[in-house]
Amino acid sequence: MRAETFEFLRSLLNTPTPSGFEAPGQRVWSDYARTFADDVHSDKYGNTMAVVNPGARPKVVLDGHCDEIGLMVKHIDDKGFIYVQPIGLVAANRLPGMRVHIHARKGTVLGVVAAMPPHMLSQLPEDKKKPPQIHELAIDIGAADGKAARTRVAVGAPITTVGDLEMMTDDVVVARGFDDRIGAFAAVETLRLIAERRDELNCCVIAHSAVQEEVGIFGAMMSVFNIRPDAAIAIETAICSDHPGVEPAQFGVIALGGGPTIFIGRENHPELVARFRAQAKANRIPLQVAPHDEGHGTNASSFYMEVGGVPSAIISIPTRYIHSAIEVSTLTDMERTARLLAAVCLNIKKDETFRVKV
Amino acid sequence: MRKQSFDFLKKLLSSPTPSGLEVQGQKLWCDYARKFADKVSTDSYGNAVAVLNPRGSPKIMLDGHIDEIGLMIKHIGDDGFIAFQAIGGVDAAGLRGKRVSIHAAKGIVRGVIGAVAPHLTKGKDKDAKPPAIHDLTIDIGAKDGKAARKRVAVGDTITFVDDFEMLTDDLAVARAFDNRVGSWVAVEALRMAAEKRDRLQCAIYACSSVQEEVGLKGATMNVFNVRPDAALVVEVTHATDSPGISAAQHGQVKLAGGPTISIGRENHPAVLDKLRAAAKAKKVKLQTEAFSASGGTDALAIYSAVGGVPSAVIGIPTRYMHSTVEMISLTDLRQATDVLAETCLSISKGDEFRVKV
Amino acid sequence: MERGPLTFLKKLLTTPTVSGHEPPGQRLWVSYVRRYADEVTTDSYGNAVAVLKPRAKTKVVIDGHIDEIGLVVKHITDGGFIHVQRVGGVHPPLLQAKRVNIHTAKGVVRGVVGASGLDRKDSAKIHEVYIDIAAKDGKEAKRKVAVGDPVTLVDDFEMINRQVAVARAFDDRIGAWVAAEVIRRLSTARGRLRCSVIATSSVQEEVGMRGAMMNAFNIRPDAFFAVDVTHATDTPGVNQKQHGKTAIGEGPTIQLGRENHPALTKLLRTVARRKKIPVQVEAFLTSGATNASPVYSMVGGVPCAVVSIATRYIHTAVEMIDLRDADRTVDLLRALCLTVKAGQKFKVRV
Repeated sequence: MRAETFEFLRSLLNTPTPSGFEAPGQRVWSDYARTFADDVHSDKYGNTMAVVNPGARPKVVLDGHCDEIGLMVKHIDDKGFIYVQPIGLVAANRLPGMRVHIHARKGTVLGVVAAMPPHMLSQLPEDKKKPPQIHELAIDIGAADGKAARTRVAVGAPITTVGDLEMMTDDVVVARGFDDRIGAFAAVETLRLIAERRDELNCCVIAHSAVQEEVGIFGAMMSVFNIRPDAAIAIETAICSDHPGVEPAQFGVIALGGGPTIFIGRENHPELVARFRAQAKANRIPLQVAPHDEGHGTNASSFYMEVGGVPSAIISIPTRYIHSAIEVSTLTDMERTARLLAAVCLNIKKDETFRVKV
Repeated sequence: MRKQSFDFLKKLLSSPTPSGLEVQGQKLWCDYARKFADKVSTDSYGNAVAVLNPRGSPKIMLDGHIDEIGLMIKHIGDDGFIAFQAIGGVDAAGLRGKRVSIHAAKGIVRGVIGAVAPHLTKGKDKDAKPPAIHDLTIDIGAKDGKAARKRVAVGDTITFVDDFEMLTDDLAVARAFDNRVGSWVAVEALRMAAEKRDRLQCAIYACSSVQEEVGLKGATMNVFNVRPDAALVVEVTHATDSPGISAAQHGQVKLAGGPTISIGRENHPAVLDKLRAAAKAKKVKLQTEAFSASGGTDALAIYSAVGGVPSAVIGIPTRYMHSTVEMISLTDLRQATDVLAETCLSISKGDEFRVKV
Repeated sequence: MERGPLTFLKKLLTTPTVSGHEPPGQRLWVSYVRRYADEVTTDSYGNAVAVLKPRAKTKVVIDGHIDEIGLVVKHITDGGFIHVQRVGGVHPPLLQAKRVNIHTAKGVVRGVVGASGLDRKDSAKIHEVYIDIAAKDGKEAKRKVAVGDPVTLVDDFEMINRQVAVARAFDDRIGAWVAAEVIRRLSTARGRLRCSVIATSSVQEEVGMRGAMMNAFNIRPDAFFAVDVTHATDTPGVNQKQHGKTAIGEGPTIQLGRENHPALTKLLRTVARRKKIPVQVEAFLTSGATNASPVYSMVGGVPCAVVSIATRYIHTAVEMIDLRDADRTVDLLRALCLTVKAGQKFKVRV
């Protein structure tokens, strides 16, 4: 991977962007996009767009969501312990024993999620041994009491777990929140590849870094109304099923490093899916295929049905352990996805439309 | 509180407005709004919109839903007892022993939701689960199904009868403050802004939305028709200062502690700044909450619609929500209205609400 | 039921139209309705729209969804057995020991959902269900079927007696049939029509009412009638206090409350009385949804009403209806369309 691209990836992934508080990450994204896009702008809630070849048709959106899951300060008790609610789908049982950053008005405050020592745990009655629910977690910021705590943090402050991007091998990489900064990354990186071959481009491509997907796909809902694209591709993380404890019968087979994953059914427009397959073949990019996952909502749901039917599709980058602090993906699949999408966009003809043939 | 405002509040709270059958309350709202607004209109499903200064800019939507939770007749048994279903989030455990009004074609029919006497349940399982809604029936004193069907029909809407009363000189009790108080605040804020018209630069669209309790439906229709530049949504919020509620789980909100604002998700930072400044100007202390994880408000439907509408929720602390003994503080109510009116008056032509990237 | 419409219905019911894979059924619908409508179009996702009097101001939509619930191939084991996932509300235990058709790119592959006495589960989850196509191994199976191929049960249409029919997925091909039939039976009365009648055969209802939402945004109807199936509760073991009282053979069902606009339900009842069409009345659905659910709050508010055909055993292989109810639904909606005045709007009067 190009050094500047990798630095952008690292910077984006290391920036905290829990849903509703994406601006710092959008800034990093915009700065990168500005070096090659014709225009970069944001909307009222911070959805950010970078365009190449504005005015051309069809108008194709490549989308990734910039927000990650997190927590929010809900209550500070008189002893100075902090109670939280989730931002997005958070697994509470992963949190005890983690370090967290509370993004307070005056700056970052370090805290720890209280964890019962095993010596104590073994002596508790059975019903107290269950893993805690979110509202039973307590964050300790080392404050003497509630009054002291309240001088440093306030109700409403967003929280992320501590963990920066790190290479495990020269290809496998771990970070917090690949879901879905990896998609926002791939969207703008695809735009860069397309911008390099601008003379071959017939359509308009808009890389879109969405806000607030994790809390209900809200950012995409706003943008599809504003942009009215002719096609929209949501780049997401594909939930890998190739680690212990996962049954292929139940979850299919999606392998880390096995190639970008495409889906069949529901919002995945057959014509766009056919384009993915054709360009993957032509460019020798391995593809993994799965039926549409009913349990995993993406921005494509908003794109395809909110403004009269916008041909849409999901393409995902295989990632293990999503919605934990240790999401694992590969640089290879990120690059393959960008290359594939660039090929698809460059292959689109002027004024082309995408229809299901009845 | 102004006498006419208080009288309107009482009348509104005593009118039946179950989701899908809000007309009686909506009519009161429209008649009241017509005294101050430049224009009052209704739409296909009975939403009402009152406009002040239509040529002003930006366009600010003030929203409160006028519908309340209720019940609907599902089936009339041959024995004359009536089975029902919920309209909105009705708690079955609280229904036994309640009096109801059935809004039948020919007029109101009174009934009771039966409760087996304690003498007769002695010895039965003490830990018996609360009843499911379909295990309960309404008794209208009919001899049999035939007699019952002469007076009521499947599909008739049902409301509870508990009306408004003051408990102290500040705390009031009624069924369904949720959310007639919201629609009251919206139109009262419009009235207060109308009194200071010379200061007003923005256009105010006060919306009394229908069918929130069954899925934020009226607000969804309104936002599409109004296309506001920003929206302030008034809704009841849980006061957590009565016994049995964990502040760690639900946050800390005190009854009579002031209206609340929420942080995150739909609550736009720039709109919150305006609310905070207005509260400061009116010397109102706001309580702060994390965004509502347990329930949606009209703001969820509004903020993501028509390309994004910067919004914020103003909460009226309420104890015992969705019971027939909801409790609010009139001071909280008045302060919310003051803050809303002041916010509108402080908005200048050309003001934009943006997240700074 | 007349012969021509009955033949069309049978063809429609025996065509696979799993959500997201509707074109085979949609083609039938379009070619049937094309003979009678002024305009027929399809959109990017395969919704089909047939219009009478396109230039009239008041737009009345009659909607039925053409998609059915089904399965889709998820994983092929090394042993050649096929695991599936659901498309819509399929009840896995009911799949066991049934014959299926897998609709592949090269044609239909027949299989069975295995369930011997040795491994049958009374409360099987979907991933515990598998299809056996008698392939030697995974390699051979992968030559015949692919991940993503849709799957339907093979149970097709038959008459149980002169009025009552059984089929897989009356839900909601019967609604799409009604919409097409309204166009056909109105086409001869075009001169008396004062509104535009728009029949929509919607896709992807079973996975979230998606097609209808696209249609509503594009069409901006003044009235929207969702024709769907509703649970008949006239069979043993159904608690009528919990589920209301609805029977097959007693006419179309009208629902009251929530999305069901008072002006439309009033009109339906008035027309039914005038034409002596028996109707049943239900409270709005508390479980499940129809295309009217998301549509009514869209584009500033669309007056909607759900008109249903009582159906026993919904979402099983043996859905059962009285064909007279379907005919009566057509008659009711046809008569209603003829009463709509030029430029009429439907409003709750405050």
